[in-house]
Amino acid sequence: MADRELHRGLEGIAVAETRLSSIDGERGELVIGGFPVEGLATRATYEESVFLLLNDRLPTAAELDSFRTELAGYRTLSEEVEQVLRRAARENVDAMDALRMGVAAANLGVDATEPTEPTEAREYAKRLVSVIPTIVATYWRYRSGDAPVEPREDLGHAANYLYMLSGDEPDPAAVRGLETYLNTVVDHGLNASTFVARSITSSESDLVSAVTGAVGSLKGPLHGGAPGPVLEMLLTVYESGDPEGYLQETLDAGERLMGFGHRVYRTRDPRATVLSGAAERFYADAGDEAFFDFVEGFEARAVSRLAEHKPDRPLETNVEFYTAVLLYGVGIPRELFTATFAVSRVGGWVAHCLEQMADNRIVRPLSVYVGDRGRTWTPVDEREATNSPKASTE
Amino acid sequence: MTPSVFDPGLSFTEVAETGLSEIDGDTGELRIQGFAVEALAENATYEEVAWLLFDGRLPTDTELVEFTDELSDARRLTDDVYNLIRAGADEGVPAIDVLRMGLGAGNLYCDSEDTLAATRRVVASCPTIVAAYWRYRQGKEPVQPRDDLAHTANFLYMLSGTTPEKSTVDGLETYLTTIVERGLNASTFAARLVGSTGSDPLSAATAAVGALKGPRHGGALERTLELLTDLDETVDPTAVVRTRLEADGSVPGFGHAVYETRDPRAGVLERAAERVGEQAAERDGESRESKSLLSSAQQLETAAEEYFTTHEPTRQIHATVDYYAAVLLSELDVPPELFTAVFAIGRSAGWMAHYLEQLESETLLRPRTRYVGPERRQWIPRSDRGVGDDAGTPSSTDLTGISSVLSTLAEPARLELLLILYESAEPLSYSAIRARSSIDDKGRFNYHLRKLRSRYLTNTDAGYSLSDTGRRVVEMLLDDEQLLARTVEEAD
Repeated sequence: MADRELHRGLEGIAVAETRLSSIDGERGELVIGGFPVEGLATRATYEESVFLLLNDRLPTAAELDSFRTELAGYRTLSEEVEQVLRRAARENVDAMDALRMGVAAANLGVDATEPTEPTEAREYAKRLVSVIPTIVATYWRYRSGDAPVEPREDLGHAANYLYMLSGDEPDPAAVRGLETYLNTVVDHGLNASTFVARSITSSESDLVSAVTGAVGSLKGPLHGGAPGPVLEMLLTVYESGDPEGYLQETLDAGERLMGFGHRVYRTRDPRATVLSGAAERFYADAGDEAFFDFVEGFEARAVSRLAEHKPDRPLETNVEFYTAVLLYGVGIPRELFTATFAVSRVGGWVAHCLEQMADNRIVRPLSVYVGDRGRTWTPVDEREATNSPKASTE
Repeated sequence: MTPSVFDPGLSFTEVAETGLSEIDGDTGELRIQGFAVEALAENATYEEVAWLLFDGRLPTDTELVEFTDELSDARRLTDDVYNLIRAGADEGVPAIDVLRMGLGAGNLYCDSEDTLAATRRVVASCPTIVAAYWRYRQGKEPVQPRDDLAHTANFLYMLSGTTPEKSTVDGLETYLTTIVERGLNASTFAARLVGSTGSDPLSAATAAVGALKGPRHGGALERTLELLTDLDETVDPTAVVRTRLEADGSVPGFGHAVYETRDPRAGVLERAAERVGEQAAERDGESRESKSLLSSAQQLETAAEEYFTTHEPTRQIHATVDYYAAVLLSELDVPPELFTAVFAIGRSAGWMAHYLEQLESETLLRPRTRYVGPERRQWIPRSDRGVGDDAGTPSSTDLTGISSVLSTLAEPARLELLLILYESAEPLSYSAIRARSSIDDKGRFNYHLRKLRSRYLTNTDAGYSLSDTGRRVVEMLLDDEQLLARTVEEAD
């Protein structure tokens, strides 16, 4: 059939219309809910960003108030899920696996009917946004040998997450830093996890299933959004005091320099710019300019070495670089970096699910068969191990 | 940066090469790794088919014994997972959601870093989760798996607590092997998507189960059974077909086939249902109820085929695999509440094989979107915000209808399609509209046509024409007075 064509990575294929975000990779621009990311991230609370994505406009003061209250009411976990997280922490299960467990069972203890109806879906959207920080923090408390900290309804979304992690009321500068991060990465087109969420929704399934799928996909190493190794690198180089030596060695060995280069952006990732500004403010407040100065210096050297090394490939700072710096500053344990990305991105996931529901078409692509044909059945006692080679998948 | 192709259902896009299965373009026959599905369903155990999908060939005797043991060693769950399943059952959560929960917590009984072992774990543990759920739903304790029973027999044993009859095992085995794999449906694609990021088998299986849950994908079995159990001798099957068609536009268990015959898998399951019925009759003397379900299914199918041949001669509508699956599962005493979950038990090997194929290809699936949202907005402080001023459209409900009409029409391609139909005196066929339109890309063309279909077009056997609303809209925009065009000119 002439119209069919193999597009292995789906590169350049658009599969959905969206109002949620728009990426211009050539110019290095990201628009979220109509706002340039730099105009939104430093001003909004996370609740405002989520309201924006769900309603296509900013909330009024009264709307924001009641939205915050609704979200805060959805934070608690059921007893069984808490037990599962405790076991996972005790067995050193990775944070993302623990998060998938918690999200997969997020409909336990919620008094609502089948979450496939549109109005119920909006309730589940709020439930998922609210419960993910509790899952991550509960897991982390158990992992650190402490009892979980009950969520506090009087705290905003970002502040409550920090509070549940540490048990102490967080510093406003840390809250602002985290809030800026959560707004910055809340949505980014159809990245792999968002596409999973939309595809699951396209079969008219529910939001809990869609977000569980998204969490499972975010965990994969090809997804991106794993800034842990960037932090390891920065701390090592900071300690050694020899950035030039590190860059030289890494590039000479033909290794990839973490925190640089992006699939879509040909420029510096606009989110890196927002997060660098937020990190600069945070570290200045905290009186730790030295580390931030080092980071900026390292970035500048790295970009110019990369330009010399690979003159034909634009390798600019990506979002992971300053994510590592900012999250480290505000006190997020590095084992939770990817899970904290999910704390933010769930806002985008659920908004995409609702968008898909509103104008749905089931996502069901084609495949090309490349295996053997015309085999016939042989009874088990007449078979030999080599009678037919494994079908080649190239 | 604008993507070259817009294909929202990906129905024209091939996303992967696969060695797992193929559907014959002429006959609609399904071949799994080169074997006709009938041959597998009549001969193979579930373990054999799972091995075939994982390894690309049938196992030898020794390999099959080892693989059967490997699966039976991988069936057990841990206490915390049982508690989770019990909580789901107590709260009345559907079986398929509980399967998602159970697999989602799989790290508590399975090392997900050992990729191959974890794919087997998924296949082995689905029956345990589903059976435990059903036991709790009945207010009973779960039955621990029995190592001396093979995959299918053990599942039936865990459901009932008694060793199953051979004919029951054979019947369910036929079902599981018949539906084990069939290319990229929504759930299999979800598993591949997760695999494309390099994530683990549990995550892929959890995503697939989540997609299967949707009624578009998994719910047809229950609807078919409801239809069939409502039938008795007093009801005229033709009248049932007609009533259903008029009320819902479709008959549960019947679908529009891509090919010219009914799905060969429906025949496989029909024969299996016959065998199970005969053996039950032999054993129990009489088994009126299940026999009557199969025969009423067959009568209804005959009536439906006749009706469709007379009334819908241009469309190929036949019994789907779900139709006889519902009959067979119900004969096997599988509770209807578990139908979708039992489908998942069968399909799990297909999901895992696709997951591995995608993982090995190391290709991230990352499509694009088309942005249709607002251009640059300005931040407004909280205290200055009104409900409508920021979005530019008042949110009062009487305006949302108008704005939805305008947003559908705010696309030159769609206006063009409306005009093509407006200018034609006769209804136009799909290909005639395509030929007259300037949209080259088939995906885009279908997309725009679909956007118009529900409200602005009517589609009859003669082809497409404008609905009353569609005609009114065109006349309003482009009538003799050219109201809109004049307004635009004046504004320019």
